[in-house]
Amino acid sequence: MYRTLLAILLTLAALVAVGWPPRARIDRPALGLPAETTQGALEATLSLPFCPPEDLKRRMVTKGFKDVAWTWQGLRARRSITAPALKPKDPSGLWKVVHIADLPPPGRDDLLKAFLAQMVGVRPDFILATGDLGYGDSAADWDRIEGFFRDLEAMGIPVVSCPGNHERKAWIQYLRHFGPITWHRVEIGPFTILSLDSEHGRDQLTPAQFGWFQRELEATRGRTVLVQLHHPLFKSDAASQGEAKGSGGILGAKRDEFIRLCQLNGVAAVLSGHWHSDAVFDVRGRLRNDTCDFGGTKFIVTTTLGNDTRKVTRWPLAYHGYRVLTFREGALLSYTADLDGDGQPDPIASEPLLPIAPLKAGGH
Amino acid sequence: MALIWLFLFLGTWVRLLAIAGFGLHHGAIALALLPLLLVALHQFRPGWLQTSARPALRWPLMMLTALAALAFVRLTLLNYWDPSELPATALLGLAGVGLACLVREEGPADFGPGPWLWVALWMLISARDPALGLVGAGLAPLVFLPGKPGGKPARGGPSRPGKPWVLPLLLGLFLPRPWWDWGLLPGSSLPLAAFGVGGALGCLGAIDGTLRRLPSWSVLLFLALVGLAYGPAWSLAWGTVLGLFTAEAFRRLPRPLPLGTLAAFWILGLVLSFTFQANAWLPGLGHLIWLGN
Repeated sequence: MYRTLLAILLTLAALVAVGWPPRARIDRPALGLPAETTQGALEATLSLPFCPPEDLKRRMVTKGFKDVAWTWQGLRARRSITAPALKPKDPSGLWKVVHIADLPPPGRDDLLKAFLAQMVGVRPDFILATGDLGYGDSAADWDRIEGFFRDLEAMGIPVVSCPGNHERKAWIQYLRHFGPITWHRVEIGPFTILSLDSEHGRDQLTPAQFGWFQRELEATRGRTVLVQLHHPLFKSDAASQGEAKGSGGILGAKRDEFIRLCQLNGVAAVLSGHWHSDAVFDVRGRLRNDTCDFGGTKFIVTTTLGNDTRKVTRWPLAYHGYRVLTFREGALLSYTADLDGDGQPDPIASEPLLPIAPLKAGGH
Repeated sequence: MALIWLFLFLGTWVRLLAIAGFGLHHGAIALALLPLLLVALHQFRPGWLQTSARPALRWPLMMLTALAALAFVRLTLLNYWDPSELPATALLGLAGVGLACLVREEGPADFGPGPWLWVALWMLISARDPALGLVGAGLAPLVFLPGKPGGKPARGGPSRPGKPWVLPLLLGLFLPRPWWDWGLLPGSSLPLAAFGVGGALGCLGAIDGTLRRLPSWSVLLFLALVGLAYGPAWSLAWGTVLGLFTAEAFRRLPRPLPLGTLAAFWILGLVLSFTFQANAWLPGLGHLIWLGN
């Protein structure tokens, strides 16, 4: 009895000792995990259970968060919100989404600036950033990436991101800047964006994450679903120019099931990076360098925004770039660039970040 | 104390190292690795660290251990431990050294469900932050060691103790699977808390009596089979049953506990488990461990 009482008292005292004064880490919305346009949540991890700090309470009120509901742990504050909308917009109108991956390493801030300048003209509704966001393990390297994301947010462009393999080399810095929620669902306008963590070395989704993905997909009826994960789904095999310094890595276990689920649930596009090279596959894993107009889920790999460029598939072009996807009434209209200037988008190609030599019409 | 040291201190320690990418290139990490040195000392000079021979040292060491663990968690709570940050790393090393000195002692409550429930409680609390498990480890000597040193002998000790390295190696391989599965999301804390509850249940009379009839090899075999069968959908049941068999297998370990062997193989299992789950680009391993594609 004495020992049980002592254990309880020591536990309570210790929790206060490590958690006082009350502090909070806001896990959602966070960098790369923006507030949603319709209904969303605020999740915060508290240093002291059930004791949100005063400044968090104030921020909740000013941002319109209501209806506190504790999660099962009783340790995270979660509130449903009634929409501080990012950008009120007709869901059935024209939506523009930009996809980037494999950001420039330290020392190539010129490419980040060039991208920011181009976004002033493109004006996307949101950006998907699919891993390999940072490379160094110093706080300054990650502050630089945070600054880039904040610049985009200041332009009214939210960024939804997921980690890649390089994040694992500086995982603590990643966690400190982006928070612990490494796979998540974000709803913006007509879109449900499922961001996954395909994990360094593992190149596969863990069972818990795969189960989550399956459940979330089944709850997206009637919405336009975009999935982003760093590792591509299909082998470059027949379409290969070699493994390009090992960047030919693809998602490991449960790949077939993953593809089947995307097809079954009408996922519009699965967006990846990692190869530093453009590629587009259909659900059967064929490299679609013949047309950009084919049915079913599109498995899109976007070249690097600023790291080394590579040739991984038969696709011959290699440049720094980003991809613009346009949607009307929730349907994918275009996802490739018109490199030859014939007024028609070319297969596979992303938008070059810097000028490239013009192609002859149909000349890729 | 030994099982709290293994599961809450060494387990959390390896988990934090794994989250930090092991960070072995930072000089400060040497301080965090000091407990490992003491594990080796346990093996080769078991008497050297025994504080029961120096009673005057016990209370100061218990207080120092608790304070170091509390200070470490206070520094890193909600912000994660970076091994390159010297103050936090030194505090972690200090807490580890203190526990390594105290762990040889067995308190009067060591053979009941108390330590198991303590493990369960702190595994659950660790949902908020993985470092919190270290608070449970740091406070454990204050809870479990006061009183007359030396506990009751292990009940139903085996006639042939077998190989004490098999249990920690198997546990190291299987027990942390929820950690690697859920990452830093709180989903891993429930199955590990269930593991502690399972261990406590295993100390109850009726279950204890049933399990005691099983031969030692079958206890380890069941433990391995249960460990392999991890799945997030049934992780609570998984943790509970794993805890039951672990409690039984733990009871059958030879006394005094071979702490050096237990710790070395537990750490080896944890590191191997992390490597296997991370696949390490070895074909097939990831599929094998996850009962994969």
